Amino acid sequence: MKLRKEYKEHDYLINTYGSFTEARNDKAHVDERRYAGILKLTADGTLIMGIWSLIKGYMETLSDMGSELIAGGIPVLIAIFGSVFAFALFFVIGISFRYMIWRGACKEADSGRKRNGYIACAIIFLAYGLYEVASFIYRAVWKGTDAQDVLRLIFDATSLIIVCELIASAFRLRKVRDELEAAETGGNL
Amino acid sequence: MQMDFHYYATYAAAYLAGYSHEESMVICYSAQFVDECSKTFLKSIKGPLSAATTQLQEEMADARTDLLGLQDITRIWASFHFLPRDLHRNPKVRCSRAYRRKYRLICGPNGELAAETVRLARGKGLEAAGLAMHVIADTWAHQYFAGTPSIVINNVNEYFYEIICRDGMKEEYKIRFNHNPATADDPEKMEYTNTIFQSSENSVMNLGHGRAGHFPDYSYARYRYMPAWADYNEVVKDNPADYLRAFTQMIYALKYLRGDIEEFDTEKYDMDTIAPYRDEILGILCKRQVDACADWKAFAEKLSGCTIGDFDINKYKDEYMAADKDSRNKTVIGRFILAAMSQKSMVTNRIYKSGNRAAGYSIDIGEK
Repeated sequence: MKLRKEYKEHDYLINTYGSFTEARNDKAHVDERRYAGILKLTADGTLIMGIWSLIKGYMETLSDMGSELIAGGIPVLIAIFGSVFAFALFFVIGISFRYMIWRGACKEADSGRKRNGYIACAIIFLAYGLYEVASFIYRAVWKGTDAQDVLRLIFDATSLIIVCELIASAFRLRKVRDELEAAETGGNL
Repeated sequence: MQMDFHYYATYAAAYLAGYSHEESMVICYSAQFVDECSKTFLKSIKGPLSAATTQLQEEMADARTDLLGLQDITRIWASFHFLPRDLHRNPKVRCSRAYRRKYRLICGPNGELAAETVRLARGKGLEAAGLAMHVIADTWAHQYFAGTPSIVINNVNEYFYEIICRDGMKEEYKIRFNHNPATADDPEKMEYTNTIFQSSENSVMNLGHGRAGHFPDYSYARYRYMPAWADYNEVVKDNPADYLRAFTQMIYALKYLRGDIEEFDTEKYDMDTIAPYRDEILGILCKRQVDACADWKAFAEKLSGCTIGDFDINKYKDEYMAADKDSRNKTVIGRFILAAMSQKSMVTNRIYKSGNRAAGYSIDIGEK
């Protein structure tokens, strides 16, 4: 009986049946999967922060409205209308934009098609986050802070970091995909 | 692997290795019996519960996931279905000691334990040979999964693609999983049933290939996926090629167990014996079907010219129940139980001696 230590010849036979395939584990492919994974993860993070932001903002508005109602400062109807309006406003700002970012990022990570809309939204959030952090520093220096401000800063800073990571991974993913496409087509970068 | 390979293909391998029809029947019965010998079955025949080689779904639902419960699960699944490839390997990725030990339980073929499993079965009868064939075959099918609950090792995410070759072209399709156990796996729609996602590292839902359902057990399956432990590297599994290697390694191992070969070494495949049947075997392996019993049965019956009865779990039950206490170990199930305890003890102690407490400690049955 003849036994083969190496089975490369056999692999060739298997190849003729079209069954053998290689794992794509070169650096470019691994990086592409890594950045796509990070992009989706940060997109999830953005959406979660949006939901938290909505709950937080709405609770703050409700508590202010409640105080005004108890004090008799505003009529009940206006309070109800105001809270619905505030909810809608927070929903649009907190969720809709973030949902667009989440959807665009997930689609780009999955399909490989470049999308710019969500990047534009993410940059708006980035600017807003920078403004929030800067305003906290301004307040802290000139007016002093309380525990609520510090908690808000933690929330805003976390949100800012997530948006930064999302934008960075989106651009890194595009770069890797361009390189892969160039390598596969033999074209220039 | 399923009954098609563990029963009918094992029969064919035994027959090709030189065993008679009757001997091959005992070997293939024992190989399939590994998937049936649960504590529930052993209770029904008043057998030793420590010889259990599998756990039923009902037993899994009751299984504890504390230290002792996890050790019990690992002892069974790592010893018989997910034999670790290398108990001393150091993973490339940086990880804690606890995870390094878990990674060492990842199943794979041609490991030192696989060789020891075959050597241990030598001279212990046909039942031990059948049991060893089950373990060897599963090292190929269950490659990259581990016989201990672990989300990091066993979980699969949405990056799970089946590779299909049509007209010389490779096509990739995303596999869709559902959690309805009443739904049959559908290779045409690429829909398979798997266990529910549980974020707990030690949930029994994360045992073995449960998160990928039965898909890794199908001989036609070629797929790529991205396990968490691989750090964004993908794993490609080519079951037709692997199953052919499993089949030829089984023939080689069975020849060793028969005494035709003096030494058993890993990474050796008896390709010459199957040369006249290679196309036929590859045809069965590549056919997209969830149950290849009929094809393997027809092939095996053509080989031996004898009728192969369907697997009946109770075939040797009465013989075991009727035997008195002293002669029970001479029955088919009695010898299977001895082989199972011996295998479990060997694997448990090897894992323990490697500094890993995942399977606990066992008395050395081999020395007794």
